[in-house]
Amino acid sequence: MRQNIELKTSRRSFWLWFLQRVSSVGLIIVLLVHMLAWHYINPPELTHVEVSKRLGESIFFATVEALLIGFVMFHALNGVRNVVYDYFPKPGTRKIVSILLLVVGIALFVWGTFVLFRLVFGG
Amino acid sequence: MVKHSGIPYYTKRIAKASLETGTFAHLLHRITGLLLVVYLFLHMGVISFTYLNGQTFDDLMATFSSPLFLVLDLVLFAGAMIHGMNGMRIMLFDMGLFTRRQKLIFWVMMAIAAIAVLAAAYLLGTLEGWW
Ligand code: HEM
Ligand code: HEM
Repeated sequence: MRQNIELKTSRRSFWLWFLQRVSSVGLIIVLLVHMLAWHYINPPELTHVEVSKRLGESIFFATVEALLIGFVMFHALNGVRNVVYDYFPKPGTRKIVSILLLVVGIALFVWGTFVLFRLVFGG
Repeated sequence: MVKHSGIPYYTKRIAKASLETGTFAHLLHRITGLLLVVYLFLHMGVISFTYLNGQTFDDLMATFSSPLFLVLDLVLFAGAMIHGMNGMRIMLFDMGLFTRRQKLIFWVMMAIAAIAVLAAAYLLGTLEGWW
Protein backbone atom coordinates (compact mmCIF):
# COMPACT_ATOMS: atom_id res chain seq x y z
CA MET A 1 0.00 0.00 0.00
CA ARG A 2 2.67 2.44 1.11
CA GLN A 3 4.81 1.37 -1.82
CA ASN A 4 1.89 2.02 -4.16
CA ILE A 5 1.50 5.57 -2.93
CA GLU A 6 5.21 6.22 -3.35
CA LEU A 7 5.17 4.82 -6.86
CA LYS A 8 2.22 7.03 -7.75
CA THR A 9 3.89 10.09 -6.28
CA SER A 10 7.16 9.53 -8.08
CA ARG A 11 5.36 8.93 -11.36
CA ARG A 12 3.46 12.17 -10.92
CA SER A 13 6.69 13.99 -10.03
CA PHE A 14 8.28 12.70 -13.18
CA TRP A 15 5.45 13.90 -15.42
CA LEU A 16 5.32 17.33 -13.79
CA TRP A 17 9.08 17.61 -14.18
CA PHE A 18 8.84 16.52 -17.80
CA LEU A 19 5.97 18.88 -18.65
CA GLN A 20 7.93 21.72 -17.02
CA ARG A 21 10.68 21.05 -19.62
CA VAL A 22 8.20 20.78 -22.50
CA SER A 23 6.53 24.07 -21.53
CA SER A 24 9.97 25.69 -21.13
CA VAL A 25 10.99 24.86 -24.66
CA GLY A 26 7.58 25.99 -25.93
CA LEU A 27 7.71 29.22 -23.94
CA ILE A 28 11.10 30.38 -25.09
CA ILE A 29 9.79 30.42 -28.67
CA VAL A 30 6.20 31.50 -28.09
CA LEU A 31 6.98 34.18 -25.49
CA LEU A 32 9.70 35.71 -27.67
CA VAL A 33 7.30 35.94 -30.61
CA HIS A 34 4.66 37.41 -28.26
CA MET A 35 6.84 40.17 -26.83
CA LEU A 36 8.60 41.02 -30.07
CA ALA A 37 5.38 41.13 -32.09
CA TRP A 38 3.36 43.30 -29.67
CA HIS A 39 6.13 45.58 -28.59
CA TYR A 40 9.38 45.59 -30.53
CA ILE A 41 8.96 44.63 -34.17
CA ASN A 42 6.27 46.31 -36.22
CA PRO A 43 3.71 46.48 -33.39
CA PRO A 44 0.14 47.59 -34.04
CA GLU A 45 -1.34 50.44 -32.04
CA LEU A 46 -2.29 48.82 -28.72
CA THR A 47 -6.02 49.53 -28.65
CA HIS A 48 -8.64 46.82 -28.25
CA VAL A 49 -9.76 47.37 -31.85
CA GLU A 50 -6.29 47.07 -33.39
CA VAL A 51 -5.25 44.12 -31.21
CA SER A 52 -8.47 42.31 -32.10
CA LYS A 53 -7.95 43.08 -35.79
CA ARG A 54 -4.45 41.64 -35.90
CA LEU A 55 -5.47 38.47 -34.07
CA GLY A 56 -8.51 38.03 -36.30
CA GLU A 57 -6.47 38.42 -39.47
CA SER A 58 -3.59 36.16 -38.53
CA ILE A 59 -4.07 32.48 -37.78
CA PHE A 60 -0.37 32.41 -36.92
CA PHE A 61 -0.66 34.98 -34.12
CA ALA A 62 -3.91 33.54 -32.82
CA THR A 63 -2.26 30.11 -32.57
CA VAL A 64 0.84 31.51 -30.88
CA GLU A 65 -1.30 33.26 -28.26
CA ALA A 66 -3.38 30.15 -27.60
CA LEU A 67 -0.18 28.12 -27.08
CA LEU A 68 1.18 30.88 -24.84
CA ILE A 69 -1.77 30.73 -22.47
CA GLY A 70 -1.54 26.94 -22.20
CA PHE A 71 2.25 26.75 -21.71
CA VAL A 72 2.56 29.72 -19.37
CA MET A 73 -0.34 28.75 -17.12
CA PHE A 74 1.05 25.27 -16.51
CA HIS A 75 4.66 26.43 -16.26
CA ALA A 76 4.02 29.33 -13.88
CA LEU A 77 1.75 27.51 -11.44
CA ASN A 78 3.79 24.30 -11.44
CA GLY A 79 6.81 26.53 -10.87
CA VAL A 80 5.16 28.11 -7.84
CA ARG A 81 4.32 24.59 -6.62
CA ASN A 82 7.99 23.62 -6.86
CA VAL A 83 8.99 26.66 -4.81
CA VAL A 84 6.33 25.92 -2.18
CA TYR A 85 7.49 22.28 -1.96
CA ASP A 86 11.01 23.52 -1.21
CA TYR A 87 9.84 25.53 1.79
CA PHE A 88 6.88 23.54 3.17
CA PRO A 89 7.52 19.86 3.96
CA LYS A 90 4.16 19.05 5.60
CA PRO A 91 2.06 16.76 3.32
CA GLY A 92 -1.14 18.53 4.43
CA THR A 93 0.14 21.98 3.49
CA ARG A 94 1.43 20.65 0.20
CA LYS A 95 -1.88 19.06 -0.67
CA ILE A 96 -3.87 22.21 0.04
CA VAL A 97 -1.45 24.36 -1.97
CA SER A 98 -1.46 21.88 -4.87
CA ILE A 99 -5.24 21.84 -5.07
CA LEU A 100 -5.42 25.63 -4.77
CA LEU A 101 -2.89 26.11 -7.58
CA LEU A 102 -4.70 23.59 -9.76
CA VAL A 103 -8.04 25.36 -9.30
CA VAL A 104 -6.56 28.83 -9.88
CA GLY A 105 -4.66 27.55 -12.91
CA ILE A 106 -7.70 25.99 -14.56
CA ALA A 107 -9.84 29.07 -13.83
CA LEU A 108 -7.27 31.48 -15.29
CA PHE A 109 -6.70 29.20 -18.29
CA VAL A 110 -10.42 29.08 -19.09
CA TRP A 111 -10.83 32.84 -18.58
CA GLY A 112 -7.73 33.72 -20.64
CA THR A 113 -8.80 31.43 -23.46
CA PHE A 114 -12.26 32.99 -23.43
CA VAL A 115 -10.80 36.53 -23.61
CA LEU A 116 -8.51 35.49 -26.47
CA PHE A 117 -11.45 33.84 -28.26
CA ARG A 118 -13.41 37.08 -28.08
CA LEU A 119 -10.43 39.04 -29.41
CA VAL A 120 -9.87 36.66 -32.32
CA PHE A 121 -13.54 36.48 -33.30
CA GLY A 122 -14.26 40.15 -32.69
CA GLY A 123 -15.89 40.53 -29.27
CA MET B 1 11.77 13.39 0.92
CA VAL B 2 10.42 15.28 3.90
CA LYS B 3 13.84 15.55 5.52
CA HIS B 4 15.34 17.37 2.59
CA SER B 5 13.00 20.30 2.47
CA GLY B 6 11.47 22.97 4.64
CA ILE B 7 12.64 26.51 5.32
CA PRO B 8 15.36 25.59 7.89
CA TYR B 9 16.83 22.98 5.56
CA TYR B 10 16.66 25.30 2.58
CA THR B 11 18.23 28.35 4.29
CA LYS B 12 20.98 26.18 5.74
CA ARG B 13 21.73 24.76 2.33
CA ILE B 14 21.82 28.21 0.75
CA ALA B 15 23.95 29.67 3.55
CA LYS B 16 26.41 26.80 3.31
CA ALA B 17 26.69 27.19 -0.42
CA SER B 18 27.44 30.92 0.14
CA LEU B 19 27.26 32.85 -3.08
CA GLU B 20 28.88 30.53 -5.55
CA THR B 21 27.84 30.83 -9.17
CA GLY B 22 25.46 27.87 -8.90
CA THR B 23 23.64 29.26 -5.85
CA PHE B 24 23.45 32.65 -7.46
CA ALA B 25 21.99 31.12 -10.63
CA HIS B 26 19.44 29.17 -8.58
CA LEU B 27 18.25 32.24 -6.66
CA LEU B 28 18.24 34.35 -9.80
CA HIS B 29 16.11 31.76 -11.59
CA ARG B 30 13.68 31.59 -8.68
CA ILE B 31 13.32 35.35 -8.23
CA THR B 32 12.87 36.08 -11.95
CA GLY B 33 10.36 33.20 -12.20
CA LEU B 34 8.26 34.54 -9.33
CA LEU B 35 8.40 38.12 -10.66
CA LEU B 36 7.19 36.85 -14.03
CA VAL B 37 4.26 35.14 -12.29
CA VAL B 38 3.29 38.44 -10.62
CA TYR B 39 3.51 40.21 -13.96
CA LEU B 40 1.47 37.48 -15.64
CA PHE B 41 -1.43 37.96 -13.21
CA LEU B 42 -1.42 41.76 -13.58
CA HIS B 43 -1.06 41.43 -17.35
CA MET B 44 -4.02 39.06 -17.68
CA GLY B 45 -6.05 41.50 -15.58
CA VAL B 46 -5.27 44.32 -17.99
CA ILE B 47 -5.93 42.19 -21.08
CA SER B 48 -9.32 41.22 -19.61
CA PHE B 49 -10.45 44.80 -20.24
CA THR B 50 -10.40 44.14 -23.99
CA TYR B 51 -13.49 42.08 -23.23
CA LEU B 52 -14.90 43.86 -20.15
CA ASN B 53 -14.47 47.48 -21.26
CA GLY B 54 -12.52 48.35 -24.40
CA GLN B 55 -12.22 52.04 -23.54
CA THR B 56 -10.53 51.24 -20.22
CA PHE B 57 -8.07 48.98 -22.04
CA ASP B 58 -7.17 51.77 -24.48
CA ASP B 59 -6.71 54.26 -21.63
CA LEU B 60 -4.49 51.83 -19.70
CA MET B 61 -2.38 51.14 -22.79
CA ALA B 62 -1.96 54.89 -23.36
CA THR B 63 -0.62 55.19 -19.80
CA PHE B 64 1.74 52.26 -20.38
CA SER B 65 3.34 53.94 -23.40
CA SER B 66 5.03 56.62 -21.26
CA PRO B 67 8.86 56.46 -21.16
CA LEU B 68 8.82 55.17 -17.58
CA PHE B 69 6.72 52.15 -18.55
CA LEU B 70 8.75 51.54 -21.69
CA VAL B 71 11.87 51.24 -19.54
CA LEU B 72 9.99 48.90 -17.18
CA ASP B 73 9.03 46.84 -20.24
CA LEU B 74 12.74 46.45 -20.97
CA VAL B 75 13.30 45.30 -17.38
CA LEU B 76 10.52 42.75 -17.95
CA PHE B 77 12.15 41.62 -21.18
CA ALA B 78 15.47 41.30 -19.33
CA GLY B 79 13.80 39.25 -16.58
CA ALA B 80 12.23 36.91 -19.13
CA MET B 81 15.52 36.50 -21.03
CA ILE B 82 17.55 35.86 -17.85
CA HIS B 83 14.99 33.31 -16.64
CA GLY B 84 14.65 31.73 -20.08
CA MET B 85 18.40 31.42 -20.75
CA ASN B 86 18.99 30.12 -17.23
CA GLY B 87 16.22 27.59 -17.88
CA MET B 88 17.99 26.44 -21.05
CA ARG B 89 21.17 26.01 -18.98
CA ILE B 90 19.33 23.82 -16.46
CA MET B 91 17.88 21.69 -19.26
CA LEU B 92 21.30 21.25 -20.88
CA PHE B 93 22.57 19.78 -17.61
CA ASP B 94 19.45 17.58 -17.33
CA MET B 95 20.46 16.10 -20.68
CA GLY B 96 23.98 15.56 -19.41
CA LEU B 97 25.49 18.23 -21.65
CA PHE B 98 28.31 20.54 -20.48
CA THR B 99 27.98 19.34 -16.87
CA ARG B 100 31.72 19.94 -16.38
CA ARG B 101 31.42 23.53 -17.60
CA GLN B 102 28.51 24.76 -15.49
CA LYS B 103 29.96 28.14 -14.50
CA LEU B 104 31.13 28.95 -17.99
CA ILE B 105 27.73 28.03 -19.43
CA PHE B 106 26.02 30.32 -16.89
CA TRP B 107 28.00 33.31 -18.10
CA VAL B 108 27.56 32.35 -21.76
CA MET B 109 23.79 32.26 -21.23
CA MET B 110 23.83 35.59 -19.39
CA ALA B 111 25.84 37.09 -22.26
CA ILE B 112 23.21 35.87 -24.74
CA ALA B 113 20.50 37.42 -22.56
CA ALA B 114 22.41 40.71 -22.39
CA ILE B 115 22.79 40.84 -26.17
CA ALA B 116 19.05 40.14 -26.60
CA VAL B 117 18.18 42.96 -24.18
CA LEU B 118 20.47 45.38 -26.01
CA ALA B 119 18.83 44.38 -29.30
CA ALA B 120 15.38 44.95 -27.79
CA ALA B 121 16.45 48.36 -26.46
CA TYR B 122 17.74 49.24 -29.90
CA LEU B 123 14.47 48.18 -31.57
CA LEU B 124 12.41 50.12 -29.01
CA GLY B 125 14.55 53.24 -29.40
CA THR B 126 14.16 53.05 -33.16
CA LEU B 127 10.36 52.77 -32.90
CA GLU B 128 10.22 55.65 -30.40
CA GLY B 129 12.65 57.81 -32.36
CA TRP B 130 15.15 58.04 -29.51
CA TRP B 131 18.07 58.09 -31.94
C1 HEM C 1 11.16 32.15 -21.51
C2 HEM C 1 10.99 30.86 -21.44
C3 HEM C 1 11.15 30.08 -20.17
C4 HEM C 1 12.02 29.05 -19.96
C5 HEM C 1 13.01 28.47 -20.98
C6 HEM C 1 11.83 28.60 -18.60
C7 HEM C 1 12.51 27.52 -18.04
C8 HEM C 1 12.30 27.05 -16.78
C9 HEM C 1 12.84 25.83 -16.25
C10 HEM C 1 13.70 24.82 -17.01
C11 HEM C 1 12.42 25.70 -14.97
C12 HEM C 1 12.71 24.55 -14.01
C13 HEM C 1 13.90 24.81 -13.17
C14 HEM C 1 14.26 23.62 -12.30
O1 HEM C 1 13.64 22.55 -12.41
O2 HEM C 1 15.17 23.80 -11.48
C15 HEM C 1 11.62 26.87 -14.65
C16 HEM C 1 11.07 27.15 -13.42
C17 HEM C 1 10.18 28.19 -13.20
N1 HEM C 1 9.66 29.06 -14.13
FE1 HEM C 1 10.27 29.22 -16.03
N2 HEM C 1 10.86 29.35 -18.00
C18 HEM C 1 10.41 30.28 -18.92
C19 HEM C 1 9.42 31.22 -18.71
C20 HEM C 1 8.72 31.41 -17.53
C21 HEM C 1 7.62 32.35 -17.34
C22 HEM C 1 7.04 33.25 -18.43
C23 HEM C 1 7.24 32.25 -16.02
C24 HEM C 1 6.17 32.98 -15.26
C25 HEM C 1 5.07 33.45 -15.74
C26 HEM C 1 8.09 31.27 -15.39
C27 HEM C 1 8.03 30.89 -14.05
C28 HEM C 1 8.78 29.90 -13.48
C29 HEM C 1 8.76 29.58 -12.07
C30 HEM C 1 7.93 30.28 -10.98
C31 HEM C 1 9.66 28.51 -11.89
C32 HEM C 1 10.02 27.80 -10.57
C33 HEM C 1 11.30 28.37 -10.08
C34 HEM C 1 12.03 27.52 -9.07
O3 HEM C 1 11.75 26.32 -8.93
O4 HEM C 1 12.93 28.08 -8.43
N3 HEM C 1 8.97 30.77 -16.34
N4 HEM C 1 11.57 27.68 -15.79
C1 HEM D 1 6.71 43.07 -23.90
C2 HEM D 1 5.68 43.10 -23.14
C3 HEM D 1 4.34 42.54 -23.54
C4 HEM D 1 3.39 43.11 -24.34
C5 HEM D 1 3.46 44.45 -25.07
C6 HEM D 1 2.26 42.21 -24.35
C7 HEM D 1 1.07 42.45 -25.03
C8 HEM D 1 -0.03 41.64 -25.00
C9 HEM D 1 -1.27 41.90 -25.71
C10 HEM D 1 -1.53 43.09 -26.62
C11 HEM D 1 -2.11 40.87 -25.42
C12 HEM D 1 -3.58 40.69 -25.90
C13 HEM D 1 -3.64 39.94 -27.16
C14 HEM D 1 -3.39 38.47 -27.01
O1 HEM D 1 -4.14 37.77 -26.30
O2 HEM D 1 -2.41 38.06 -27.60
C15 HEM D 1 -1.41 39.95 -24.54
C16 HEM D 1 -1.92 38.78 -24.04
C17 HEM D 1 -1.25 37.88 -23.23
N1 HEM D 1 0.05 38.01 -22.78
FE1 HEM D 1 1.30 39.55 -23.16
N2 HEM D 1 2.56 41.09 -23.59
C18 HEM D 1 3.84 41.26 -23.08
C19 HEM D 1 4.52 40.38 -22.28
C20 HEM D 1 4.02 39.18 -21.79
C21 HEM D 1 4.72 38.27 -20.89
C22 HEM D 1 6.14 38.49 -20.35
C23 HEM D 1 3.88 37.22 -20.65
C24 HEM D 1 4.13 35.98 -19.80
C25 HEM D 1 4.47 36.06 -18.55
C26 HEM D 1 2.64 37.47 -21.37
C27 HEM D 1 1.54 36.65 -21.37
C28 HEM D 1 0.35 36.89 -22.00
C29 HEM D 1 -0.82 36.03 -21.97
C30 HEM D 1 -0.92 34.69 -21.21
C31 HEM D 1 -1.82 36.65 -22.73
C32 HEM D 1 -3.25 36.13 -23.00
C33 HEM D 1 -4.16 36.80 -21.99
C34 HEM D 1 -5.62 36.52 -22.23
O3 HEM D 1 -6.02 36.14 -23.35
O4 HEM D 1 -6.39 36.69 -21.25
N3 HEM D 1 2.77 38.66 -22.06
N4 HEM D 1 -0.16 40.46 -24.28
